Amino acid sequence: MSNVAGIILSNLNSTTNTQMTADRTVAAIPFACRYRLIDFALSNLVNADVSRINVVANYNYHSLMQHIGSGKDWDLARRGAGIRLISPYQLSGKTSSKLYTTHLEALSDIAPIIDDMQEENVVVCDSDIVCNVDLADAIAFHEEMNADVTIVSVLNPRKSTFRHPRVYLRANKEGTVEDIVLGMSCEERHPELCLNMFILKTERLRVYLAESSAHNYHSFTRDILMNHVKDGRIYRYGFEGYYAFVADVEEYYARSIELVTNESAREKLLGIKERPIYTNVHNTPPVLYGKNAHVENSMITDGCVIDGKVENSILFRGVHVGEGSVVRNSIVMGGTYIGKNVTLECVVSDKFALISDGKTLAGCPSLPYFIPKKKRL
Amino acid sequence: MYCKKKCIAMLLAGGQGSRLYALTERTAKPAVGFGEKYKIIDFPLSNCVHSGIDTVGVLTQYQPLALNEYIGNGAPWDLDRVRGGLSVLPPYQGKKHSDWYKGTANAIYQNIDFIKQYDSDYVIILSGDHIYKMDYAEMLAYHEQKQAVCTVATIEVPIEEASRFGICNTRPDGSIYEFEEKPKEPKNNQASMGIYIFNTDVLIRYLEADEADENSSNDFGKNVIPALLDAKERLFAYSFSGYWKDVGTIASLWEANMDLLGESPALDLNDYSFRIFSRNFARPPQSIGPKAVLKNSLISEGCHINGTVENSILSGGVVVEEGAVIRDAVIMEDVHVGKNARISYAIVDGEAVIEEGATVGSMRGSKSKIVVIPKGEIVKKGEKVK
Repeated sequence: MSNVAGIILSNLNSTTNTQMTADRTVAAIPFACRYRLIDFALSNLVNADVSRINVVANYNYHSLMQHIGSGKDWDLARRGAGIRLISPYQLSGKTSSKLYTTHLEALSDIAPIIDDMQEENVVVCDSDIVCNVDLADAIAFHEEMNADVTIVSVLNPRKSTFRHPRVYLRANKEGTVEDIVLGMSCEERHPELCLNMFILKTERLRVYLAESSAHNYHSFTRDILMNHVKDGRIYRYGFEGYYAFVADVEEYYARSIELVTNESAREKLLGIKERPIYTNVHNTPPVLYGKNAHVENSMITDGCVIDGKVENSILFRGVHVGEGSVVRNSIVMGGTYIGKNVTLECVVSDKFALISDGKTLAGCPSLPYFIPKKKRL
Repeated sequence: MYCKKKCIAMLLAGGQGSRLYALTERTAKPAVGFGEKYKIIDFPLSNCVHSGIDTVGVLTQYQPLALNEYIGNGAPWDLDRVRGGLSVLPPYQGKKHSDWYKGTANAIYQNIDFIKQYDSDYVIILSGDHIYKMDYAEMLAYHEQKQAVCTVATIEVPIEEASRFGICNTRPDGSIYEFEEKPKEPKNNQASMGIYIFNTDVLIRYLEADEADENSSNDFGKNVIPALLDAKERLFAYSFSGYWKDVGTIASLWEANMDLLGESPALDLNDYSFRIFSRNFARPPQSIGPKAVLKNSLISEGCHINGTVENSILSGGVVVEEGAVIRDAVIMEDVHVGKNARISYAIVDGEAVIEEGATVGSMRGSKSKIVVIPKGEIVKKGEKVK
């Protein structure tokens, strides 16, 4: 049995993407044609033989519960291990009933569960980051270095400016972290980007939680990591594969289109044979291409019925594209029905939207047009 | 522990399917791929689940490796149950005898103890050879209403083909007075679908009698049903209307696949109220390249398509390179089709490789001239297989 437990924080950063998290957690946002964001964190853990996984929820977690089910699809329906969803609860005697908004608050909320953990190490990860990491290798590195904390970081992040602050760091040759900052873009002095995926000694995590309760700390990065850099026991594990943050609709759109247009990105995320990404299985029938179908450069998954033109787009499960319709540079989520002679350009359609015959909807790459869930047009 | 069931299913899945030659060389017929993501056995198993039958014995014999691995513990069909569920029943060695399954009736006879375990009122006998969606609960209701001891499901077939089937001759009330196995001159076109519901006690009694008869070939159609008729038991025909196809030959397997295509396909897989369950693998979504042309086709997860696919069925993980043309073909899992290769009127079994510029089948082919490429076969660069 693996000596590592997993904690996935399902709903951090939901405030930056209010449109897509109107009635779901960040973890349950559909991504990359047939997955939800949590599938990447879960698969990373499962592929590293981590089989005791806690998913911490705060609100809006109905679709997440439905997606996870018993955990069977990730081989996590186990006796004595497997996956469990930790919904918010109150301990008797405590008066605070605030729902967590930061890593540290989330972890403090589940302190009794962390106290009971038998595993020596624990992996804590967010769910709004998409990547396919060899966590087994990262855990081996963590153990070899006898680190307190190992941060998974991108060695050469792309030089884009984020609209939301991210954590950057600098490390020496051995991988010891020397400095950690919060910033909007990657600077020369802090060239590596933190993927918000941490491997911690469980015992250290307990100490950190005790500290934060004593000092009333709120931020894991600022109050814990930055404070403890000087101990010299925080390491980073360098990652060079594909990664994507999806903090808002614009970022979501850009990263999705990147998967369609960039084959190497797609392969690095979904095509690694030893580390498949698992997801909830629906038993939907295969894609049916009709007589008038014309499809180019797209990602499409089971259950779709296509009789129109689809270009540079992602169609999730069970999307219907009617005759004469054109879907271009768009992301169409599951169950959306597109009638006849519809034109969509730079659109992100949430699930089960209905777009009736003859409509034309368009955004532009920097401002995609968003259609809310179940909207009837 | 005592576990009572109203009706359990016995699924005969040991057949060789010799008329599918290349496809069944190393695979039992029920595990042959169908309609991109399914195996033939998915249909009877999904029917069971939709009919409220949660206890299924699957009788295996011929080349069971792929079949056993596919079935597993029955979880894909929700048949991993604490009480009942799916059990694989291979032939076994007993204290006094050990024998292969000699015929359909003998296979069930050898598993009478399995049937007795569930103390069921009824047993439904199914086979793993057909593609159809059917609610067995309706047939069972008919069986109870007629107070039959045995009900045979029948379907109307074209009269010119009737001599290939077991034909039920019935009275106006649906009771059977004569059962003719492959008659030269059929009296009507009500063909047996190979689906029988028996009262358990009657089934056991007749199986034991059949086993005692040394001249019997231990077959339901040839021996057991005629014996019931001779004894004037209440035998009824349940007439089923709907899609049903015996996929026992290459031509019929190809045709059944093609029945999934078109504007209103003969077999509708998109009916979510009666979904066909299958073992799903976590394959990535399909990616369609800039040079792809797709028309009237069914394509599954994990495919990379950058060529032309028309009137065809592609299973998971198929790669079609630029310039390749696939028409009127069934391509099974993980097949690789190289640049400018051409495939028409063919069934290409799993993991085969069609190298660059190779040709499989002919554009002028037809249903009766289907080329089969066996599992894992490599068709070399520029080679022509017709």
